[in-house]
Amino acid sequence: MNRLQKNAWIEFGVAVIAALLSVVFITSMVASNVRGITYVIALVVACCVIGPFVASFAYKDESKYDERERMIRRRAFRWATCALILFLILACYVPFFLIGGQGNIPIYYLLIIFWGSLLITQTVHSSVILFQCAKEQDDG
Amino acid sequence: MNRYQKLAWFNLIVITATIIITSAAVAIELRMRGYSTIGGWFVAILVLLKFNPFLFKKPQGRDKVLCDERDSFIIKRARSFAHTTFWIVFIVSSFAVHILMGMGPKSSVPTITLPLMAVGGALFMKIVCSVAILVQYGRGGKGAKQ
Repeated sequence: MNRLQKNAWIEFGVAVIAALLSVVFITSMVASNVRGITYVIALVVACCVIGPFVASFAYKDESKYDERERMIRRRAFRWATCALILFLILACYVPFFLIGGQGNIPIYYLLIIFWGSLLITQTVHSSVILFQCAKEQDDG
Repeated sequence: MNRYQKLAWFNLIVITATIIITSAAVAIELRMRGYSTIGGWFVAILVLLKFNPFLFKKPQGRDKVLCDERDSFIIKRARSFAHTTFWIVFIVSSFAVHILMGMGPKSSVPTITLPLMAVGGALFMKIVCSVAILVQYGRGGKGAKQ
């Protein structure tokens, strides 16, 4: 397993953990109906937990990868962006057409869209990297 | 002014015009009738954005150059900047709504918010990307002539 695959697995693992934590976070927030300053404090605590995930995703040092690895990452990024756009379109338009223009949706749905988009992006990104690496190894 | 600068200006003009015309139409309609049904249709002006390839054709011919290394770098950096800014705004807006309205099961928003959010996000990215392109060309002196 090369470092690209190892990083992909780590990023994917952190994304899953962050998603699970956020499910717990959202559920508890909804149950206790928090708002205002309580919400801000809870958010800061949640960010401290989920921060490492964002940091690992956002601040990758590209210079340590060679040209081939950078190309794989670029392709994975393109796929992840396409998946994100598709997910956002579906998540935004499907409820609108199902419920209707004059209906209402629970506000925590917006948070679910946010966490869902993070998870989908990271999952596709890692999967494409792993798939490309596996394919290259098969080809020799 | 090269092709990318023209494209960026065109995008900005179309988006600004759409926002102004749609807002004005909705406002006038609301004032006159108390509700708005026609004003929202002015967002159809955004279809003009899809005519970019026809309005600003790529230079044909062997000796014509579409873009050099510097142009590619500028476009790449503008896209990267737009992507990063989109995520920041997406995160902030997702949480700002909750801070203001609460998280309870009874807190809700109209469904129309969702498509508006999607369209708003796409337009925001387009605006940021166009501005980033123009700023980078402006900062580096005159844009390369095609």
